[in-house]
Amino acid sequence: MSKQTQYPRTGFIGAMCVLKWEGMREIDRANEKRVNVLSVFWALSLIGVSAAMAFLDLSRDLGFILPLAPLTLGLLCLRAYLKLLREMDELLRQMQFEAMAVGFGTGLIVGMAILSLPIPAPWPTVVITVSMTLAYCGRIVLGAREMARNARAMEEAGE
Amino acid sequence: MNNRLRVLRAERKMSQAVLAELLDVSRQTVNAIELGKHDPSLLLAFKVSQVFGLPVEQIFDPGLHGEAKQAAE
Repeated sequence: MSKQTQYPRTGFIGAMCVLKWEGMREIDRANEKRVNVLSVFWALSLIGVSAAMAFLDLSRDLGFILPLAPLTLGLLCLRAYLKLLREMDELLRQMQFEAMAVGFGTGLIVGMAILSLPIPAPWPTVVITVSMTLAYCGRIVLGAREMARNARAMEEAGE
Repeated sequence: MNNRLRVLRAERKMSQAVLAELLDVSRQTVNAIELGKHDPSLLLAFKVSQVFGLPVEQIFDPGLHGEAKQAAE
């Protein structure tokens, strides 16, 4: 059995396998790992700082300094993401840009819809963020499925 | 955009993985270009031209017709 057929090429799992193992180079994997690690640290620092601000009796100075931690980590995360985009394989980059366009577009549409509601919507920021994330991830999954389809076509052609 | 990538690769008995390595792209990018699902960037088109030792226009056909083709010529 060849290396390419050691994992499924159909369904969600198959699409993700093709994306990760055939669609990414080593440098893409390393850059993505850096973004993921920084994102986790950013999220943890955000939660930690929010909890500290809410439950601890902090001095005024510390109250101003503490939020700088997630801000700094967020900026580092943004820089790592830009590096990822710049060095990314061009097919993946196209997928990322399309996913970003769909994500931000969805955020704008959902945001405008929420603003036009006659009653105040509960948790509008959460609704917008979740819809943007789902749209972004959905586009990535569709791109990965397209990759898996191409991989199957390639195998059927005897490549 | 049409291209002769697959034919040229077959002539040289080169696998998609090897070509991808030479071009510093993923195997799926080479596959998508061959299937006409992805148009390569200018840089990648020039790299392909270097690998096969052929001018870009002999590998890629942008499908220009009529006035656009005359203007390009």
